Amino acid sequence: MSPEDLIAVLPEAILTVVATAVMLLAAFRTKGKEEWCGFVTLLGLLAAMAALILQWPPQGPAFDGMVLADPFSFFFHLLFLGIAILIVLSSASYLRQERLAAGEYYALLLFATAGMGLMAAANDLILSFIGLEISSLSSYVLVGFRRRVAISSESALKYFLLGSFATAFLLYGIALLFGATGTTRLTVIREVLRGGLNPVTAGNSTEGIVGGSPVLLPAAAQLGGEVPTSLIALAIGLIFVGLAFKVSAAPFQVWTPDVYQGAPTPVTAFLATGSKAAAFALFLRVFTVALDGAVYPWPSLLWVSAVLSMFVGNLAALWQSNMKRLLAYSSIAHAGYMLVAFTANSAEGVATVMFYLVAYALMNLGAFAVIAHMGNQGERYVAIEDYAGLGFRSPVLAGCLSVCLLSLIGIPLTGGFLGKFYVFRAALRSDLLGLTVLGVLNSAIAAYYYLKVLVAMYMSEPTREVPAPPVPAAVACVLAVCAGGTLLLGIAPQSVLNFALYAAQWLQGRM
Amino acid sequence: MVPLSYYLILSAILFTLGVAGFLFKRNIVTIFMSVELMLNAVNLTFVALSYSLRQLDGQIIVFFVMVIAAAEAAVGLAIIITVFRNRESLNVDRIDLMKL
Repeated sequence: MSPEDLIAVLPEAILTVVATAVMLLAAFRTKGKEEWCGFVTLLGLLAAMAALILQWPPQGPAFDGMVLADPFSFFFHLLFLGIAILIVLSSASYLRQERLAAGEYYALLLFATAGMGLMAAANDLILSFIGLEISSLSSYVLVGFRRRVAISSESALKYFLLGSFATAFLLYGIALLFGATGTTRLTVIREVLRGGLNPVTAGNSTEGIVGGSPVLLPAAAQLGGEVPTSLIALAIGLIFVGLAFKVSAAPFQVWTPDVYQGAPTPVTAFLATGSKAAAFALFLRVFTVALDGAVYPWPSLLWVSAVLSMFVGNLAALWQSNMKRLLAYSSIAHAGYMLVAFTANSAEGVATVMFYLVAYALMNLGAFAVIAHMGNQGERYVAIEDYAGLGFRSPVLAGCLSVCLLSLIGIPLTGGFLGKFYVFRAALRSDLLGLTVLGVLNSAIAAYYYLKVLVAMYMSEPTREVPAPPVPAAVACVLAVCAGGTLLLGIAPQSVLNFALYAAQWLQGRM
Repeated sequence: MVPLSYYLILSAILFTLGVAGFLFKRNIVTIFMSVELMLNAVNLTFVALSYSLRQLDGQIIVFFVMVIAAAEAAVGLAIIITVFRNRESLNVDRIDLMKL
């Protein structure tokens, strides 16, 4: 292992070491351990961010091509670490209020973040799969963290069962892709599918067979000596099922509302932003790098899924009265918008998905921070009517929530607006007129349910007494970052967009 | 020698059985075992392909999958126990606190 290899995985290494340290700290320290654990976690996340700087300028592949510390992975690492920092800040008061074990919580959060980092950086399907499982297993536990609360454990069970079900599909897809191309390395799969390399010798030339001797293969004869198209199509379908589940795209979205509702609110925020972004990172990497040369037209799969997600998410959200469920359906719809950009299948489309993920993370983290704070002990006040009159009781809190909701609608001057604008522009440039029309139609439907919350906050009288505790400093900090960031992205999106475009071009052009 | 297709068809059948078990069984533990069956069907595919392609990659993946399945079992059984403590039931039809 060379120093370059180490640098390529240094952020993940730091995160795992710190996670272990946090668990030990929680076990041995008795007094004030919650604060200490949170503090060490924050330090670890900042250290991982600092380690990320060492990866710039982007180097070549590490670990014999297994890990790619390219600008794409750099972008997503920054996003994941930023999300994790904001989640830690908004979790501290929540954990104290719900009397949850802080050490384990923070440790799992760090493990999940490390897994996401691997998903974004992996150039090998095995590593992608392991990263996905590291982050998923940690999230299953986090979702059920309020273990004495029935709905929390119920949502953990649903997430776990459906998650492992989807994982099995993904794995089967990986197996078939391996069978068809003879390798699990994404960049090599691309070459094989483009016809540049023989499927059987491809694996040998790059991976080296054990013993070093080139072997003549009976499999070549069995598989016909060329890439079997039907096998590839089946593999793409199965991988699509697994990944669509993780980004909660229809028709694999059924778990989302229940899981988002039952999970502790900061964890819901983490799932909606971090896990979704990581799944999209993997999705983009697998489809635009490895399956780029596939004969099978996978964008048509994405087309169907994008339309279904937008309609299912937005129409079901109209009837919701629980804020967390509302945002769950909105999260399905937003996955749909991102899939619209993904369907465009261009560097611009990839960059748009990346930009959208940043904007979406900011607005969603802000909204969930308000929900977590408003929920009070045991998350009692999460219905929309509990927000009635919030605009007069706590104007600042309501103001921050309004900025986030306006951004979710896509009102100009917010990150959400530009995100949608770029999505539809990318779709139009790839001649996806029908998809764009359906997407714009959906944005109009979506405005209704977000406005319902805004109307409740500013135009209706409270129906029951809802306590308004003072906002802790850490939560205020999160709200300021989210609201400010959302507005900033809406006014000056260039730097983020340009970097995303650079990363996308690197992703597509790279061998 | 048994041809590759036999193994692939067998593992496809096992995978389908797993899917069917997941969809139609009502006991949580049985559903969980169905998922394990699916994972092992995939393992069989990996091993068969690996042997036929003369590549060790596939067999190494199987080790990773086994480790992950073990970790999943640990987490999954813990979650099932918390659910049982809260609801006193292992029937999925009764795990219905949240509905549309």
